[in-house]
Amino acid sequence: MRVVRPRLLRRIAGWLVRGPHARHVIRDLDEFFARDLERGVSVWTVRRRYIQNMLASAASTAGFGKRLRRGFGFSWLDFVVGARMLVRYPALTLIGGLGIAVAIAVGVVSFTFLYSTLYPTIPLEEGDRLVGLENWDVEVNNEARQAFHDYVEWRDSMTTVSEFAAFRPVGADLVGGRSTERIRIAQMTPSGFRMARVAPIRGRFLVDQDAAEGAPPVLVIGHAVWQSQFAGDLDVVGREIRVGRTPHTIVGVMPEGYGFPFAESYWAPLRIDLDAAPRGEGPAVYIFGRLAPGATPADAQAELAALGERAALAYPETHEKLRPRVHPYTYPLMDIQGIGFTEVGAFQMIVALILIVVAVNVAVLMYARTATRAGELAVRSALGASRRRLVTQLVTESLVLTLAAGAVGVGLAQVFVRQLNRLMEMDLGVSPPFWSNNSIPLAAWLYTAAMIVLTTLLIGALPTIRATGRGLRAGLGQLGGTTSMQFGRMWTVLIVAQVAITVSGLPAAMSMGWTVAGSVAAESAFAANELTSTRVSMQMDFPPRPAAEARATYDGPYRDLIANLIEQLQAEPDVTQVTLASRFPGHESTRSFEMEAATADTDDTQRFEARSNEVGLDFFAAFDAPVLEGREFAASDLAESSLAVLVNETFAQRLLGGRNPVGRRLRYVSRDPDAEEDQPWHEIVGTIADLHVNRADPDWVRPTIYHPLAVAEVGYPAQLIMRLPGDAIAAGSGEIAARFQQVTASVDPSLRLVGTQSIEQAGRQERLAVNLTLLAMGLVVASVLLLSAAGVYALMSFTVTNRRHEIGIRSALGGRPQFILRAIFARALRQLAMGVGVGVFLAVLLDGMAGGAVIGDKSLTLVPVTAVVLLMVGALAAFGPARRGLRVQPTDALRDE
Amino acid sequence: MSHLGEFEQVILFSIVQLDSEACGVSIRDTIRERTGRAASSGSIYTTLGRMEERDLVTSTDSAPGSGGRGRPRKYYRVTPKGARALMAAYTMIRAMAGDVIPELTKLAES
Repeated sequence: MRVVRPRLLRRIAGWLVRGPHARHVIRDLDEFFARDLERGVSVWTVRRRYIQNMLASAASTAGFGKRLRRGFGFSWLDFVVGARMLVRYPALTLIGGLGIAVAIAVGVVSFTFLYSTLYPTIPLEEGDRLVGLENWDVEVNNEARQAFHDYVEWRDSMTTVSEFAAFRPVGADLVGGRSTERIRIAQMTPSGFRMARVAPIRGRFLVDQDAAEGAPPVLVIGHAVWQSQFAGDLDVVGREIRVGRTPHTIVGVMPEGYGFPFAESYWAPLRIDLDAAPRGEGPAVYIFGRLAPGATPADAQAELAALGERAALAYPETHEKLRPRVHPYTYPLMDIQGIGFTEVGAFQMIVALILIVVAVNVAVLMYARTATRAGELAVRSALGASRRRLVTQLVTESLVLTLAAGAVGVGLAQVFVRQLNRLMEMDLGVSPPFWSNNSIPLAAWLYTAAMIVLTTLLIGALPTIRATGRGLRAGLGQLGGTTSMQFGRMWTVLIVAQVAITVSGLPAAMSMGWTVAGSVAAESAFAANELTSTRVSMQMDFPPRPAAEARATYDGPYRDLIANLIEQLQAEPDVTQVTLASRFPGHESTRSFEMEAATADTDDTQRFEARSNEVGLDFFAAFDAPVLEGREFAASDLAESSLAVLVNETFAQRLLGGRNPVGRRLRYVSRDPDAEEDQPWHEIVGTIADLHVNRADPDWVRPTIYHPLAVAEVGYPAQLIMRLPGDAIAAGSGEIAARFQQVTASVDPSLRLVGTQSIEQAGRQERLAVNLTLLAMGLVVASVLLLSAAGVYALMSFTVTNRRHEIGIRSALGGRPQFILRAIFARALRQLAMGVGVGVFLAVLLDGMAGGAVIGDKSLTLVPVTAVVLLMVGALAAFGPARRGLRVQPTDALRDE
Repeated sequence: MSHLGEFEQVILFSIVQLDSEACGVSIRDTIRERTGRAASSGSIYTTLGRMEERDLVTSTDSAPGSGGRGRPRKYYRVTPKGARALMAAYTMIRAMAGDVIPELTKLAES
């Protein structure tokens, strides 16, 4: 086994922790490190604990602040001066600060998200020793969760993992609380509760007897549902509720915040019945365990791999391609087994680049500001201040700016992290995992600190080292109003690079913003405010039977009930149309198919991909989607023998180059080559206008094939789409939903409508996501533009200050203003033009390399527009200094001499 | 009589608890186990150093290699003066707590 030693950390500790007890502290740090590793704590956690203890120890050892000050040679007065500088140069503070804040916010959000996903802290006793175990199918490169038999074998034979549990999430209807609702239940082996080591606040948690055959059905509930569904009833234990059709007794309530293993609120026992599930079959389960004392994840992986090899030999038909793996506990639950440090590190590096670009821009501004203070620096130097002292002073001033911007950035990041979690909750429809929180982890704070230090060095050290170099004393001349500092080659390169980056990057950002904003502004092609979608669920037995058995039992009666329900809903006064669809538009599955060639003289077929949906007869009428070619579905198309299909406009445009598809034949292509012949040929009988359902992303309109759907063939759960007059929905969507629920219950008490919402409501959620994206992009684009403008402004101002003398003398000699201006600004304009040229070249090159995917079809407009905008921004930025330059009076300029 | 801060009391109690095994690592472990508080090694040694100067604890260095990882360990013991100070602090708290605990519990839960 590889021995991990904290060499670098120990060096840092040696520098940070001083005083008479330093060697004992460092010795203890080492001992904790080695001991945690021996106990099998992950290397990351061990390092994190080392850093926490080291920093806290450093802060508590005597004279830390003094040592820090002596080491860098700064005085607290520098911070005061730095704060004054922020006020004295408000433009730089605002522009530079905003740019840095946004870049830090983007970096922190990205880091927090990645870090919290990959290295979460599980808030349970010995939570860092929990692991997930699963079979990995190397053939399909995916997990194989039907592992009841493996669970039992691993549990009974592994020594490196001491506690085992399995669970599977199951959907069911809950009847008996304040309201009937669709819930997610964790069917978990009772050992899961023992593993979590959290006591219930009422009653008991599940025990092994609950999972025994014939045991009465019981349920444990979470704190949140105890409050919301049972009004915090102190006598809730013993109360009976119905899960599906099966009455369950509540036996316990878990404390607030407890959601083990993922984000659970209801727990029922999972019975491992090996007789009911042959090897490799049965329900899909997540398996997890706790490392035995002293065992490491590597030990567990080695032991599990050996078991996997044995199983592959013993049961080749089911286990030959399975490789069992040990993962950090959260990975299988989050489905992130394949993500590693390299991918995350590469992504985070790209994000960090934004900050570097911004910092380079701010460095230009800082240099210009420093130039105006050349006189002051020269005087300080003449009075005996060393170069190191001057650099420290100026870097400290930069630090004040980056600290302020960092604070704003972290604030922004916190808002974004909270909103992102909210969006994920809305989008996925599930609560975040129990280990997630909205706070920024310690590692992200350290990352922020590192970003602040890096930015400070870039914007502070670079300009000041140059500003305090050779010729510093010549700055004494600035006391007369000029500066001897130069915008040398380095700054020329920086400005050209900055303009080039802006010109090359902005078109892509604007193109994205354009698409996103345009999709929000776009009107739906149908009356979104009049359409309501819902799914019809039916209560079934719990625990659910295997899918095939359930289908055989329930399909017939369910379809009869759906037919009856549609009739009843159509009879409702407000309802103008009720139709069916197997998938909601925009959420269809993608399938491969082949299409016959257009001409009869060739038998070539072409392969394509398109979305596929099954829809009721009135579906297109409900969406106001007209037939463009051919005909609509007719009642005769519902016959089993009918193979008629409709396609949308995008299908005809993208796959057939706009030719009429009516009469063409297509058939689906199965992944199994032997099954191809069995797929029937379908005939396209008409073209329908596109349904622009997802306004956040117009590209969701994909080539789509529609099949007719008869009620007698509807799957579970049926998706109903109802059309009501817009004013009926506006009057009260809650009331309408309640009335529909009553109608549904009157058809059959076991039926329920789930997820009833108007398409307008769904759109509102999408728009929130879009607005957040737009805000983030807008901030980044605005910062880049502002910084570019500020860079040009700084360059121009600098040039005017630098050549004040020359302007005065030229004016005195009768030089015409336009010639003077041209001479002064020629260099700045040349740099601007060079930057624009390089930027346009880069933008076109990048877009070309990506096959037009970066800027899209607007590159011909956006690239020149960006170039012109930047030239204009540059010209505007130059306007102020130009005016100031022309106002230089010859007498003033000469008096300064 | 030496006045003891809260953290000093916690450390002295740990040393008494650990008897002859009281070193930086074991003191930190004890505090964590009993109070859930993750004190830094630096703060523990700084406090021990301060108490040693005030003659509340004494320390002895173990021979290098014993007790782990090749470097000497420092073991601490409570001096009679330290024991008296801890006793006084504890007695004072007990005297002050007296019969107000039920009232305090009620206040905390309200």
